Amino acid sequence: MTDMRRRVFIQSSLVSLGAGIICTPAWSQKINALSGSMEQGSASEAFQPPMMAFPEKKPLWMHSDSPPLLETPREAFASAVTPNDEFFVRWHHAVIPDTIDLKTYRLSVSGNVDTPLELSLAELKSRFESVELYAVKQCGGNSRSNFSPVTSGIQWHHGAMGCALWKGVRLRDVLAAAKIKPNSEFLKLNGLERPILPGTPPFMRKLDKDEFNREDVIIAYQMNGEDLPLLNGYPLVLIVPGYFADNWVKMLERIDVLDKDEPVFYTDKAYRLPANPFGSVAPGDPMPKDTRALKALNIKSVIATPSENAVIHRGDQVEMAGVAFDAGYGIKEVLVSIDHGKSWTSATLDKDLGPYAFRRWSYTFTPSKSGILTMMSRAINRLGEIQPLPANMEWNPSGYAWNAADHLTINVL
Amino acid sequence: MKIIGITQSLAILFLLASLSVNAEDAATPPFAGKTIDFPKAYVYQMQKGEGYETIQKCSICHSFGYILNQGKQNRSFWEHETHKMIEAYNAPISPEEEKVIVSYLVKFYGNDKK
Ligand code: HEC
Repeated sequence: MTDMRRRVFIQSSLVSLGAGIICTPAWSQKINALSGSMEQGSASEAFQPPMMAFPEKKPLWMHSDSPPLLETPREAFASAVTPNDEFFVRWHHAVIPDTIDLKTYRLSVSGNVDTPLELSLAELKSRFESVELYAVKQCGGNSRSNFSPVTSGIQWHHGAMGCALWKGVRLRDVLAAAKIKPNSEFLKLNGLERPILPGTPPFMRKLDKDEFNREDVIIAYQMNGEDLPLLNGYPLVLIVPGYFADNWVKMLERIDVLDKDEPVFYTDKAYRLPANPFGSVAPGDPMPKDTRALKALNIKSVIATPSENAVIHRGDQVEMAGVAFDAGYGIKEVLVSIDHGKSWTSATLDKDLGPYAFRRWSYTFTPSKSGILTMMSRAINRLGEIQPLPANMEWNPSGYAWNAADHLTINVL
Repeated sequence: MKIIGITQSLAILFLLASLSVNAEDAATPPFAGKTIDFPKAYVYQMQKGEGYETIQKCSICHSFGYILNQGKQNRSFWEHETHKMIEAYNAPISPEEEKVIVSYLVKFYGNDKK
């Protein structure tokens, strides 16, 4: 019966999810990677990953199938909201449930609380007020492939990020329902992913008091008006607006409240920057002893279109478009250049979807002479912070938080 | 008669079977949640040569995609990376195997940079 029910479910979910969703039984969806369609950094011999469609996903750049590491093509950032089926996928460990049964799934809240909770998804939705907000989720290693010298870690281009409308309940309301004790200092959170071998540190994250008391940290059950894709953490994902994605625990299973600090590998050893204001060291230097956790996003913009190496005819109109974001102060201006940074002008900003959202921008121009044209984008926020030019980009040994002004080259005939 | 008898008993069996299906469906609510079929393993083809057997250990916890994705890198990069797998993640790799793996990576995925 279990088998039958599963099969029936899969069929009906195919119908209800609509024809756009591809459930590939195997690698029949393989599309050969087109060399040159991913931006080429300095590493010209870089491996071109295949593009693959996973369940509920369009074909994405597959850096790994297990754990799945799927990168969004940069063209998707021509819009301020990243569709669920193009949203990047990144897990740390390979044991990921293929089935979430809501009859048995529970989110537990325990530790330094008076009333431990075991919440079903239905209870979570009915007991707490729902909130919605747009927020950018960006992997700490996004754009790592731009660092020189190279830093180890997944060599993402710009596609380990996305912006969605998240709907869920406030973390602090859930903690209040558990009667969190006033002396609580940290939360330890983990999801359902597990390492293959027991000796590998599990993926857990810690949030401190200021963070878990924020009113905009939410436990989300919806993304862009739909249930989360399983690969993005169905049924629940933590949303920490303005923070890098390592804090956004997927398939959230357990919230453990601590009254004092306790070391957790993926907060205290991994995802760290040098402890100075820039979070940097001289290029090539090792990680210093003093480090700090990677937390707030830094100001960034990415050019989505035209496509890298696109061929355009002189006199044709070109729409340059992309997104910009920061840690929540708000984007004030996006400067663009079509002469590799010699001169700059302001792009048009689309409507503001909120402080933590992508701000779409665009600029239309008509190239007048033929040759290679390098366009650039550079965002400024309301604090006056501006993206560094690539030559001035600080370097850190783990290759986190790349945020230099973006550039993209096209051919004008 | 015999044939009819078989047909009849088959029919009865079928009926019973469908009744039991209905009874069970009524008792247990339909599946609520989500299930996906993970695609079957993709082959990130590694260069064949000395050390190829040993580096199979590098795909216990993750695909070879992780290695290919790094691009061609120098010896100190691969030494550091291999050692990190053992130290930080508890990869079951002996010191002898570690040497074989580093030589393999340097030979097939190395560069001349210092
Ligand atoms: C015990 C499990 C395990 C084994 C065995 C293992 N790795 Fe890893 N590897 C990991 C984990 C865990 C990560 C990082 C996961 C994360 O944080 O995303 C990783 C990441 C990597 C990365 C990405 C860059 C980085 O540093 O994060 C590379 C490259 C890599 N491993 C290479 C290797 C090589 C080469 C071997 C064989 C010597 C190997 N791995 C064996 C667990 C393992």
